[in-house]
Amino acid sequence: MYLMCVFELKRGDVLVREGEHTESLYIVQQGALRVTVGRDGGSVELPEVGTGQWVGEVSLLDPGPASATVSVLRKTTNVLEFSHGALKDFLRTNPAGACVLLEALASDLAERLHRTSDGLIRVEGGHAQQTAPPTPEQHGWFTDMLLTLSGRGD
Amino acid sequence: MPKENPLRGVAFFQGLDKAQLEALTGALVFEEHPDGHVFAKAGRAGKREKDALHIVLEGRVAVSTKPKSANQVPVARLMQPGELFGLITFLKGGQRTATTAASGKVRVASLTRERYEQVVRPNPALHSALLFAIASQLARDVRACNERLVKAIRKAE
Repeated sequence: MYLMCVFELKRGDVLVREGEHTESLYIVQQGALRVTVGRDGGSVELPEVGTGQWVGEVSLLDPGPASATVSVLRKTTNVLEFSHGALKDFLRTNPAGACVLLEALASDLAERLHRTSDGLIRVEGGHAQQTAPPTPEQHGWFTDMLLTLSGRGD
Repeated sequence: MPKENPLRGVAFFQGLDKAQLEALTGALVFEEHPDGHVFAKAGRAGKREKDALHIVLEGRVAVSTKPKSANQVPVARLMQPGELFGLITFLKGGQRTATTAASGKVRVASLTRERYEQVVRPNPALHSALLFAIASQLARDVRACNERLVKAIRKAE
């Protein structure tokens, strides 16, 4: 039984579309992925996801609509897909191995939740006080928030 | 007639067999609390072995994060029956990141770090099931926070 599937992708292929149902984690084995948040002409590009990095840990554990669009950036990109179903099989067949993976994921998500909550306090608090549109000097907070959303807001 | 296990209705634990469910039940403390009971206060540090995760069995628990300045507003969320809270401190220790308080009368099951190490960690099937529940709850919390953040950003634009 294989827990992960390998996809050989080409530049421009769309792996995940924002808003569509997804339930997998994607690990970049070779190449790079582009992540964009926002539609209707207002999208912002986040830092690329390179070899050894991954996207989709929230969807792996809580399947639902994707928070970003993920597409292929490099000519040759290989991606490993680890689905929610495969995670459940892994739990059943190798609980000790699953513990190692889940401890790492839980720790990562706890950090991310902490950061996202901080971001939310800043945005909602800022909005409550703000009566005029943001000045150019304030514009950076928008990108900061999107980085927080992507889990890469360090 | 034997009493039904109080964890039987918790979706996260429906994959556990009878023995695992009983082992987990034995590690938990079941308590009822009145409206307003404070489980943890943001910014306060506790003893590591006494840090606990909680499972809401009945009622609701309000979770609110502490603003760092006067012009910031707190983030609040109501945890429903079947949901877990207290997870960040349980995993990472240190200061509490949120204030959690009963919103009305609640019944919760609590697992201290000490009981987790004694009962849950040595049992891989139980340990993996609990970690799956913890990670899934955190993923759900991150998703809810993200959605709220996107709405707030769009409103502020």
